[in-house]
Amino acid sequence: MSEDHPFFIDRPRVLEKIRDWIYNPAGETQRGNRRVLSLVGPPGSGKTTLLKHLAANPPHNIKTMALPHPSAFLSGDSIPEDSARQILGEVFGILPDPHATPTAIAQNWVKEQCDYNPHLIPVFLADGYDEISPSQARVYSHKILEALISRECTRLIVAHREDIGLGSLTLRLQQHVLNLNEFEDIDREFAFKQFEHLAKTHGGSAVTEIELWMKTFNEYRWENPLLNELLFEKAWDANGKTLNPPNATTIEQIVAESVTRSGRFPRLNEKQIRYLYSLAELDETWSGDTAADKLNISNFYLDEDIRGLFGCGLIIEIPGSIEHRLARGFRGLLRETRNKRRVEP
Amino acid sequence: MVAYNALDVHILHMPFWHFPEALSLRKSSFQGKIDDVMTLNGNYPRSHFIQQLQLAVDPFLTPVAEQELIRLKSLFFDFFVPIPSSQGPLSPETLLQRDSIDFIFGAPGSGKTTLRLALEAQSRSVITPTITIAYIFSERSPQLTREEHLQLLLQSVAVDLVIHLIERFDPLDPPNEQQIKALRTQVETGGALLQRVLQAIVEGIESQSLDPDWGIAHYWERLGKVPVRYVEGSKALGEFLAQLISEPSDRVPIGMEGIEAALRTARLWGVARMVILVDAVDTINLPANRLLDSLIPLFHLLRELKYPLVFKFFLPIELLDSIQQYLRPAALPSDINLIIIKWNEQWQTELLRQRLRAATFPKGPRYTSIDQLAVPGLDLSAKLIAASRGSPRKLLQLVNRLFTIHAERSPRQAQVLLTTEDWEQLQREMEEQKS
Repeated sequence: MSEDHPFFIDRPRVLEKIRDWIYNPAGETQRGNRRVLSLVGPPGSGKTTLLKHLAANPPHNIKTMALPHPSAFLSGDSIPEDSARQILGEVFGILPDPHATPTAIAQNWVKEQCDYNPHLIPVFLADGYDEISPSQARVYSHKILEALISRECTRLIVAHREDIGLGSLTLRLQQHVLNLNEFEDIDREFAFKQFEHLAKTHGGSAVTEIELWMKTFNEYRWENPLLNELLFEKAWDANGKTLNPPNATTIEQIVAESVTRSGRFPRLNEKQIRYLYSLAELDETWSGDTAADKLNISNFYLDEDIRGLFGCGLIIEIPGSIEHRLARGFRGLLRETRNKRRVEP
Repeated sequence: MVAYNALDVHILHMPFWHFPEALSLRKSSFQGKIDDVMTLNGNYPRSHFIQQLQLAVDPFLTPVAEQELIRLKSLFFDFFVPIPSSQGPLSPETLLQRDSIDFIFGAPGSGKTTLRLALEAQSRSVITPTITIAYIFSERSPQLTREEHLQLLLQSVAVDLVIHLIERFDPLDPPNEQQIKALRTQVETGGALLQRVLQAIVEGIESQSLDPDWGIAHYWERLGKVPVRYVEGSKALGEFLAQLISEPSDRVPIGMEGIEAALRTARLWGVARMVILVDAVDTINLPANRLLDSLIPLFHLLRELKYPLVFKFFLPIELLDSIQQYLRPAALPSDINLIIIKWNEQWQTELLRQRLRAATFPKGPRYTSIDQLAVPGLDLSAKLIAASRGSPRKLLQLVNRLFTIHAERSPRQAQVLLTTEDWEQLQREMEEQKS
């Protein structure tokens, strides 16, 4: 979702889980405090939206503090002290000691919060972690993030893709993973709200009778917020601002564009698109062997194009299993496209 | 009475630089992974195979915890899975929280030392009122009397207390005179090696030659400790450390008085609880009765070393019956938990999965099972797990050998995947070993 959109929260269960974790990071399993929440999911699964919602609507007794994009701290593989001091000063709302290092400032602020304001839980929100290089992630984790969780009263939520690990042993030892794929699909009501908002954004305030429009726009999906938005925009623009179902070509473009939209991922090649269509025809979950047979490749895990699809989050691992599936929304979309292609001239 | 000097501590803590292969490895975790592929002790077919699989690190090369720690450093902890036991999976966090005296028994290679190292890493990853102290009990240690145990324990407490407190140093809220004075005594108790390491850190800060990933923490390797988090080498820390090593204490207390002094120091610095991890490593060749004889004087001490000292023992399974019998008449001050490490197929599968996941480049293949590295239909995971007979080390040794067999069969493998022939050769070797 783009920056100017209001914060839709499509997954009340996820938000409830996050709130529970903030108040009780040990959880019900008595594993000890796990104060780093990895909010993982493929692109478009709503990680950033959730963080923005938490920043704007902190739960009771919680002080949420959104960290700027990691690149604001970094210059190459290092963290220039002057700018980092200034950023941390803004995040904490203090005038930082001009002689102290950013790590020392963060550690000291956290210590004082935990010692003198024990009822308030500071929660740091870090987005963009998977948009920096592994070496940058290591420096950012070691010098900034580790300091923010150096005392027991704080929490840190890091949004990242599942395949991008946290570049710090300390963070990993404190890590609790919340995988958005393990929660229910986005509900239809949310899709309606999103649709309403998009229609108003694109077409002014004249849009009424949303439900009727939704019925007309009967191809509208609701499994993946990013797909929703792209599909809507394509349909809107392609049909001269009249909402009609997008055609198969439009959908193909959407599939190809969805992962490249933010510029974070390489554009999918033709072979990868073809693979996606083939994988969409398998059962919802499948193993590497099944997929290799279907795609006629020797080894699913060693194939470079397949790794690219893993890398951009379109192929998802099923946690604790050797099976995989396509990211939410894509399978249905690809199957429909294929069916449409069969009937379209 | 045994003379305790820096050399004893040096041997007991097994510093990394004692092992020449450690010299070729880099500190930074990911660079470490890359280097690892290139420096498999000259094992080129094997490293070629690992590269073909597009793994960043060989996840099965060193099936023994201590060797693996030397090879992989902090990456070692990425391989960790909760250790299954008679009381369910053992997580470091849970064990650290418990005030009971826990006796954790396991066969060689069942994960006792891995668990102990994970407890240490967990406690150093965040500043809490609890710290861990590693008390390494090796067969290289002589038969120790109560007093010798006490003195060795005192030294172990001092070394780990100093490390923990240095890692907690806050340049914006520096320690007061009383805290510094108390810690100075601990530095002396810790011995000459600890003092030399602190001196090296001071020099490293002055020359600004600290490790960019770990700061001063990478110096802990010289004391046999893994860096867990970045510890900044600020000028203020350098001055503080210089104070700790430059002025000798008036008197270094010994025996129980020394323990009291350590506890006072800990309290002054906000540490309320110390978890002592007694690890009987390298005692595989020591008969159970001799090991028990060595431990009994330590058990006697437990009646005096009460809370906030909390003990966790990591012992060979052969001692279970003897310890059970011994503990019956011995009234120890806390609740006692006897825990037996027990692996099953589910956790062994998880062990392999975690190693493959941790060994993968961020953009690398998503292996979750050994079966994905083998030709279809071989069902290798199940076969290896069955052959390991419940021993995780045996399982890792088998996979390690299988990798080598495959790599050596054809140095530039046309067939990347493990084959039926590889498995059959491994089976033949296992049969030969038996006979």
